[in-house]
Amino acid sequence: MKLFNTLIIAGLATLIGACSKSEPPPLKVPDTIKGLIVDSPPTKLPAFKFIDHNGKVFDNSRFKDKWSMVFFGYTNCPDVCPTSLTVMDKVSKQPGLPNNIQYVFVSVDPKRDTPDKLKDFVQYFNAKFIGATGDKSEIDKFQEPLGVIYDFEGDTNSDDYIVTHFAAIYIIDPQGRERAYVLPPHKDTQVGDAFRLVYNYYK
Amino acid sequence: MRYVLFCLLSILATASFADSNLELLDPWVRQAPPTAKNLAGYGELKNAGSSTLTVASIKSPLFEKVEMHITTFENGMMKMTEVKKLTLKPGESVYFEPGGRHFMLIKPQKPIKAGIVVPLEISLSNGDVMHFNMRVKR
Repeated sequence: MKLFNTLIIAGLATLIGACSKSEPPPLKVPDTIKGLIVDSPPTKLPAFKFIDHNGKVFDNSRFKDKWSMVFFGYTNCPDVCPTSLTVMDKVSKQPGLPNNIQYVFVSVDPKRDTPDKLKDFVQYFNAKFIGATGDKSEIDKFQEPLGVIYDFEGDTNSDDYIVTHFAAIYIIDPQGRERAYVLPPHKDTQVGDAFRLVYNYYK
Repeated sequence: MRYVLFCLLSILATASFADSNLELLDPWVRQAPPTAKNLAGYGELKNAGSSTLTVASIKSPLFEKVEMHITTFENGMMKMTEVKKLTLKPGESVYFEPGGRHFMLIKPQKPIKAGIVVPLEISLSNGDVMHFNMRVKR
């Protein structure tokens, strides 16, 4: 009887194992890839609604069926955002990547970053890049699940304030879930290696 | 003879221009989208002389103002802080590079296109003013 119970438990365990096979064991990140943090299991994005640089709705459906890299920042950012977007542009030209990756820059500063301004900004780095932004309440939905925190410094009624923000590059899978993120400072080899590792493991 | 005199005068002129031996190596400005209100300049600022130098202020004729900023990352959170004063010991270099320190070039007075030169005037606390040229590139 005892043996029978054990067999049942073993059988159930196998069954559960088979059912959850879609989520492989956590990816081990080698020390050579700095700043890559993998989410296992992946983190579901909140239901959100932004507009893109063409004024079209940019919501969860835009992440379906393709891999994405997403960076949150603001266009008046002189150092970090241009550095990370330049890195994303260089990564987009590296070999060994799927050709349908989408690169998205989300502005946390919708007051200054109109769709037109976003368009000028993102397309300066790469004509295929997508700029998006939305109401503060929509942007803030990303705070809890993805850790997108930001703060304004200086007079926000003027045109001269600085935005302090979380500056990771997020890797979003074709089910629209956060699979990993890469902490700054960013280098193109580091981000490219990180993406290839995550993509090849979870694709 | 006239040539030698000219050379001698040139050397004297250069020498009397500034005692401070401050160098800006590999200077460049990151080209930004036309709408950019702030640009970032980079390079290695080196005190190649024998006395300590302190940067008092910086300006450029192509920008409303210039500040020194440092970007720091704390758990991925980017924070930019103004550096009010920078002191370099003899032989010391301070690197201005993407994701670290940068010359924050505020409000361009004309379009800053790739290839143009951005003059930078660094005033030191000893009264010397050093002139540098930064090339705009991507």
